[in-house]
Amino acid sequence: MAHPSTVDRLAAGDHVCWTFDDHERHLEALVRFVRGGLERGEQVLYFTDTFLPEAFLVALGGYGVDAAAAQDGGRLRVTSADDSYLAGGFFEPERALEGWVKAIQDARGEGYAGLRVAVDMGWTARLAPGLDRLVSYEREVNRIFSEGYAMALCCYDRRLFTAAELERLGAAHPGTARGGAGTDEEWTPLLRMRREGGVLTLSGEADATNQDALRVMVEDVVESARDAGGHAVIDVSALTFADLAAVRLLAGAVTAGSARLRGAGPWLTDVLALVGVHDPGEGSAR
Amino acid sequence: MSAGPFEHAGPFEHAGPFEHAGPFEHIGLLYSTPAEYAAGCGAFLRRALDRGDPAMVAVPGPNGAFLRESLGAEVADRVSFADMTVAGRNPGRIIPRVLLDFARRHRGRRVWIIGEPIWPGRTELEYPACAAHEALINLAFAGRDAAILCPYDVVGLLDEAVSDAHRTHPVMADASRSWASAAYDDPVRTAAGFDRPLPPPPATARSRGFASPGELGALRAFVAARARAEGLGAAVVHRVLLAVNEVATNAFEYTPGGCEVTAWGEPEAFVCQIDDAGHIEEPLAGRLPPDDPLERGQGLVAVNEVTDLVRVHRHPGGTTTRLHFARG
Repeated sequence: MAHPSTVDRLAAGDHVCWTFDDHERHLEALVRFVRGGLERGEQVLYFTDTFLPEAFLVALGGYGVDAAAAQDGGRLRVTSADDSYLAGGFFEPERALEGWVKAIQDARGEGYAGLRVAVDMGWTARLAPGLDRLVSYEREVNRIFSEGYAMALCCYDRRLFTAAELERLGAAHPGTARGGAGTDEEWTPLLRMRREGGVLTLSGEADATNQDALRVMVEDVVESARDAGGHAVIDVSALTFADLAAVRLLAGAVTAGSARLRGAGPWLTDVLALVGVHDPGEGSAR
Repeated sequence: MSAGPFEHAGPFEHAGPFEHAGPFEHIGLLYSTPAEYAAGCGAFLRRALDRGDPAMVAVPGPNGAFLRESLGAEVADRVSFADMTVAGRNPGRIIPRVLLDFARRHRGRRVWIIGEPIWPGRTELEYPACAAHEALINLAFAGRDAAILCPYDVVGLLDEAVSDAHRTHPVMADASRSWASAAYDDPVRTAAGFDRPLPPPPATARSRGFASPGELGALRAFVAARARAEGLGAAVVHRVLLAVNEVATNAFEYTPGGCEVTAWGEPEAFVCQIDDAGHIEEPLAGRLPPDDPLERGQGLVAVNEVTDLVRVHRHPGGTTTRLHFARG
């Protein structure tokens, strides 16, 4: 499983698939996550499927976090998945996505420095919405969190999913913390995506492990730019690697006249030329 | 057409055996002197230019300069030239990026290409890939309206290369005549025959196994560290990472058990080898670019594009893909 310290490396705007197979370390990671948020003046929401909310609050106290005070002030909310996600007895992705938008609005309205959300995804294994719906939900979540105010830690119990299922779910997240992550060396999400109006900023590496997350964000920024009658800008100056599928995705947006790339380095320019795109930049007219 | 070299009846004027061949002609031209080279190539180009068809010469630089000279400007200016030691450094790149590329730029017309992929400087490691390429041309161009002439330097090349040419070309020619090659055989079987075991990696090589696509990032970090330790510049490191990542991603997607990556430096090249438990069944994998470059299936074509030599060895335990990147 991923090392608990990996959660310290999350930043606002991140959406991470975090895998575990041991509740001790899961708890330790959650404590670090909650403490980090409270220290930074962020609101922290935890939707648990692992612990009873009361028991989790007691455990936080054991780690020296004044959970009661935080909860009274509304800075911390611990809710069971059954009372939230599944309030209607089944999972409705649309409602859940709307819930995140509202939670972000509320946290902003209340003046928090940010919002951090941890969700145990174990309950999804008990449901019958099918993996496709869950994957599609995880993809859509990127649109909301990449705005850069909130971060999402999606906790997946490796014992409840097959390796192939976790691969598909992982690919809907820009970063995944897998077994061993953070044990020997510092871990950060492989890719970070931030969306501000018609500009999508990418940093890190894009490959098969985050391809669906990247796709939804490129489509998102392109669509809204098109609606506004212009083209999107994709800032790739901090993108350090993109596999051919990712380059093809960027090239497709450029070729369609829907996006321009900002800050493409020589390596990316070379690969773009391989797929027939010779003037991806902002300055060139098409 | 009345320039000097074309005055005599060339070998292709009385080319009985292939007059009734399909639209695709693939001819091995044996030459032992510059005059024979000029005569054979000149006659071929004359056929093209007489018909007003597009023609290209993709041969090693000095041979191209010599041909340009002997053809005269009036002819040479109507022919495209490419230096095969650059454009075709990696033999796996010749079909997609030299031959098919020219055919696509002249879609709907018969194209005439002189391609010389095998020259005396080719290394022992490059040769099997070159010979396999010659066999696979027959498959890639089957039914296409094209003629490809491949000159073979019978003085400079090993006997093996010359006798292999008879197996990879349905028609052979010399400066005076052409004939159906009795040794020509099924191109897939012939290409498979050039799949030879690779020399073992040196003792200095470093290996690491990767079980799942989740480890692609770690795989790239491993390869990047080896490449930088070998003193490769940033541009080459990026080519290495793109190619290795693409082969490894395929291995994770299509084969069980992940892959093992082995990397080492040689005096002239950085070498990276990917071993997996699968077999690619498509003999033209990596040689046929999709019409739309944004389509899937471009992966191995791109690997051929950024790599200086790709050797693929199939064995009962799976496939070894060895990628060579020239230093500098």
